[in-house]
Amino acid sequence: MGAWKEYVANLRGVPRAVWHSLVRQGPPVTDRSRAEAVFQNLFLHIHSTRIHRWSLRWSYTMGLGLICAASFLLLTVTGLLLMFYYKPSTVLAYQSIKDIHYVVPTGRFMRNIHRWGAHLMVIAVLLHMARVFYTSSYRKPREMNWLFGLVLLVLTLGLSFSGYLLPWDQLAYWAVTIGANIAQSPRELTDAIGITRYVDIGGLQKTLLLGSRSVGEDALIRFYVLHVFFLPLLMAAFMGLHFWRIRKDGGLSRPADADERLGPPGEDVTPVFSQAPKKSYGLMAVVRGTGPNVGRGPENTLPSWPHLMTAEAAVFMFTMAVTVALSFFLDAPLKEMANPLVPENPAKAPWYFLGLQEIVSFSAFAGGVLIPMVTLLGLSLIPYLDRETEGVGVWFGAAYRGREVAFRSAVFGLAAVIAVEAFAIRFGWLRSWYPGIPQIVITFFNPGTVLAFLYVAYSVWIIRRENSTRLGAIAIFTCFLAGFIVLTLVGTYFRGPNWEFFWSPSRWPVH
Amino acid sequence: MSVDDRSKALGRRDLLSLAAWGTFCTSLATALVGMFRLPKPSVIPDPSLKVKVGPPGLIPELEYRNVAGRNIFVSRGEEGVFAISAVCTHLGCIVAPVPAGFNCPCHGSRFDALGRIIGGPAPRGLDWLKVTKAPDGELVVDEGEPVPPGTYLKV
Amino acid sequence: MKKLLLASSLVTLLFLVASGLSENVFVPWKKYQKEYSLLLAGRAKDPQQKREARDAPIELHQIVVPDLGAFDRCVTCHRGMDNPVMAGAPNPFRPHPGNILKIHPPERFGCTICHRGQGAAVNFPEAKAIDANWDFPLLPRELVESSCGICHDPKAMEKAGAPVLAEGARLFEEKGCHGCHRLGGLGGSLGAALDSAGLKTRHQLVMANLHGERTTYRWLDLHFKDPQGIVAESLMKPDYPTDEEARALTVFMLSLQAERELPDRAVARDRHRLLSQGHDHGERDGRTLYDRLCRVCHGEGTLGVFDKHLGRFVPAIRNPAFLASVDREFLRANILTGRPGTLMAGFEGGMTEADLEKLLDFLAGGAALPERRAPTQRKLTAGDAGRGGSIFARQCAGCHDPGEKGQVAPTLSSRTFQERADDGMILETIARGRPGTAMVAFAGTGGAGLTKEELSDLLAYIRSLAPRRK
Repeated sequence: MGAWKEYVANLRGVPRAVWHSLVRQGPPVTDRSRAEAVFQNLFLHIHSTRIHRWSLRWSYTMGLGLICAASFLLLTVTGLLLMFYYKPSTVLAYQSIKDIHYVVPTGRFMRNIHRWGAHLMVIAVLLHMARVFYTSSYRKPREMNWLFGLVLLVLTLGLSFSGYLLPWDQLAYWAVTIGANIAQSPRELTDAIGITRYVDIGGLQKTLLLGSRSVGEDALIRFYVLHVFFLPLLMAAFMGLHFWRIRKDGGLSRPADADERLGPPGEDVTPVFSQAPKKSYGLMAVVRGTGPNVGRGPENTLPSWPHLMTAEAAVFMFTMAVTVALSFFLDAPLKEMANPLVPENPAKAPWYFLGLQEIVSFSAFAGGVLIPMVTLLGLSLIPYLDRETEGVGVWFGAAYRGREVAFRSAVFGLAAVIAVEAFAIRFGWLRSWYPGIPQIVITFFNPGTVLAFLYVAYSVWIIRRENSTRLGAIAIFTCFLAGFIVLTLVGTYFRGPNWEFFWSPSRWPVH
Repeated sequence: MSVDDRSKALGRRDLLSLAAWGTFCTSLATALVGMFRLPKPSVIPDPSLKVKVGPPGLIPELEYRNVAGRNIFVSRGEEGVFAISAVCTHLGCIVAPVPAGFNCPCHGSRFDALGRIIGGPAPRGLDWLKVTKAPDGELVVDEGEPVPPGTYLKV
Repeated sequence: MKKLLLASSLVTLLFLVASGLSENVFVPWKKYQKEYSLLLAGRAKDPQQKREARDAPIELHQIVVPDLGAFDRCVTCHRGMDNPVMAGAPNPFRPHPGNILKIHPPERFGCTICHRGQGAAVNFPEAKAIDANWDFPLLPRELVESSCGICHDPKAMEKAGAPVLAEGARLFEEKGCHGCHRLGGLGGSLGAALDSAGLKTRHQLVMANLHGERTTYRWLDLHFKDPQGIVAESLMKPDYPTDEEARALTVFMLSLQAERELPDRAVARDRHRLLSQGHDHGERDGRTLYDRLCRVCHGEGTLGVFDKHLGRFVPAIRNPAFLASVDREFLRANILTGRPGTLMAGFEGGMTEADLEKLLDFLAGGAALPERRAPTQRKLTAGDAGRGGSIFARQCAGCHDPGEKGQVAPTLSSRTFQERADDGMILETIARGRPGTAMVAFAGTGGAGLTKEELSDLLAYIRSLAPRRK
């Protein structure tokens, strides 16, 4: 009988017991329970249990990294949902997008979020990189994480580009046709030195990308598989690495004097140690040296729960609010069904490649392969070339001349790109004067390479004049950023049919 | 933090927390509702279930003719033309005609020549389908519209 | 931070709810379906029907015809399309006019095969798709007949519900469009082939001078009325058709969709024949062929005419004097390869051999035209091209300018002319002229009085105009 009573009592207690097996710690009101809330949870334990106050300042991070992660999450969810209806075949793809647009419940909204979220992610990734650069956060020990970040940048662009083809409309078809031909552009070089017959890197790249000579069924399925499987998988893996390294490298970067700069903690901050500990406890046998906090001042850290969690939720919701608002007012573009017989004019790549398309219009190889590769290489070398130690964790290095150099470089970068563009638009380039000029000359001497050379020369000059590699890095990064922005704007707004210059799209001739 | 400190903190700030996390959860829940609505299609993308089966003269008497590409049997009795669905009412397998009627290959349901259940797990007899005459004189069977067994079209 | 969380969550919630409302509540098609239910209930005969009409579920409807690629949701709003009870109701509820739905059941053909438009859309502006990113916007009612021609022979449709289409097909032949445009295997090569003219999208047409709605059908209509007003460099002869004629031609143009892949079950038998052999193949006689192919430029062909639009004399190809100096071989070569440098483009591939022979018979006008005329045996003194040149400049260049400008008479430097016209013919023509054309006799007392020597010099000069063989 006792067993029966116990059974009935247990049955009554099921909801409570389930709850307690799910949430094991008490309400997160003490430091201990707050820490437990983080490290006992699979999804939260990637965070450290306490976070430095410096890392929570908006003015420092602007939440950009979180926006990238949040938009990736949004894109994953909406993308998975869209996969219920999307059919990756040239015959059905366009119709399935129309169905998603018109009759799938919430389909139009989901697709809009997916589209605008993708654009937002590209912007956020670029800005995040700029933030990390300008605060010198790539410095030792964070060099490897800077490289992971670059991989994530490339993956982001790859994901966005591979998704571009899927609707199978005119916009998609012609943008990807251009992209595939940029992949083929090393042929420009191999042709010029006459070895294409033996070594055809360009042709190989294009064939690998399209699985065929032109954009068709094979290309679509390749892009689909890349977009929904390989690239997201790589992305998730590298995001994991990126986050993991943040923790292993001691959280977000901060200046050595962060505590002084922050001043005394507010009343809601409860430091773990109220004074510098003299001894370290316990771990002597396991850890080399003294304990982690020996000899350090009062900690300026806050429990991650709730402070970091609130911040993360806030940024996530901010990202969502922006994409949702955009998606409510603006529909994702969808042009006529892809028609290989009717080229779009102008056929433009996605906006973040329009800067590239602008220099590709001078030389496919220089613009599509040489300059991007050199840029990526330069970016990855930055942490290994700049080994100064001053100014980590502060925008432009504060006391340092960083802000001034950045400003001057921005002015120089803008002036140079505008001058070179204006010259090329107004007077043309070598081929307009000497029609018979060999392509190899143009490949290496064109407005794009001239611009890149000017930027490099300027930064070398800065290094010598200021006697600082860091300032040189600031100079070249700022110049390239300025160039990227201006070229992208020119490609987006000032290029019309046949890639001719127009002051505004309203002046385009109607074909 | 002592108990006193905590109760002091339970002021404006915690109300704000509550509101913030509350709306956070509400909007996520709303988003979830939208997400769960998506997989249920609002229109079924199948073509019309009506199929032309030829003029009445081509329908065999007291013998079944399978309509190409469709799981339908048409036949003509004394009362007129009728059509029987070949989809088993048990779990949707396609029944095969045998001298005695129809047998289902999946779980052994058996039906007589007019589709009535005579054995096996099927809960009811085979569906009879609506037969109409098109303006051009051909007969049309609507797979989507079952009629009570014993409904014939006089020809 | 909490404030940001609160604010963003509120904004998100707001837009989620707003988009939920705009997708589910403020939807035009739902409003139409409710209106339709009420209308239908009002027309119901008994309470049972009334209840059914009232309780009809509000849901999307569509017609799917896989082999025509149709997913037509038009019926979501046009609920009364096949319901005779709705006769006289306002659109979008009224029944489809005529008995067309009986002959072409919607479940087998859909809507957009005839009406065009974006069948996938569930609101009218996007279904109409004038400004949307869609290749084939909804056809105005007066142009829908064009779609009969997708599957039927247009001429067979005169009494079968598409008189305007049939009229368009007739006008196309009557106005000599075949002269420049190839269609169904017949016609010249000066203009574009029109077999799939109805499949052209607005991106394939020059829209710069088309103000207002930029649709292909408006383009066609205005282009028929004023070709050069729409495409400045167009060579098309303005024909000044009436509004009705322009519309009929537009309808006919829209019906031309040879490249469209259609299931066999949809295409009428006469249409198969049409696509493979062209209109009335084997039945047309020489006169008909002349009217369709040559007349638009050469007129009746007996007199030389100055064509104001082309700005030049068009040779009189049925002129007896001309025919007396040529043979069938010469005419055949001229017709097939054309005259390079002039607007006479070759008809190679634009007519069958049988057609060509019929046409030659007609041009000969019953007279026996030799297959090959024996070269003239007349003894010629070798002329001097230099002296001939100065005579040419004085007497001939006004019309036969060998340069590019001012060429109003046939070009003498073309390969076809130089190879096919023998010396005798050239001398004969200069000396005697071509009665009835602008070419007068240049020898003897009536003309410029050229002597035999001068004629030889002239001939030598004309021969020197021949294009160099490479």
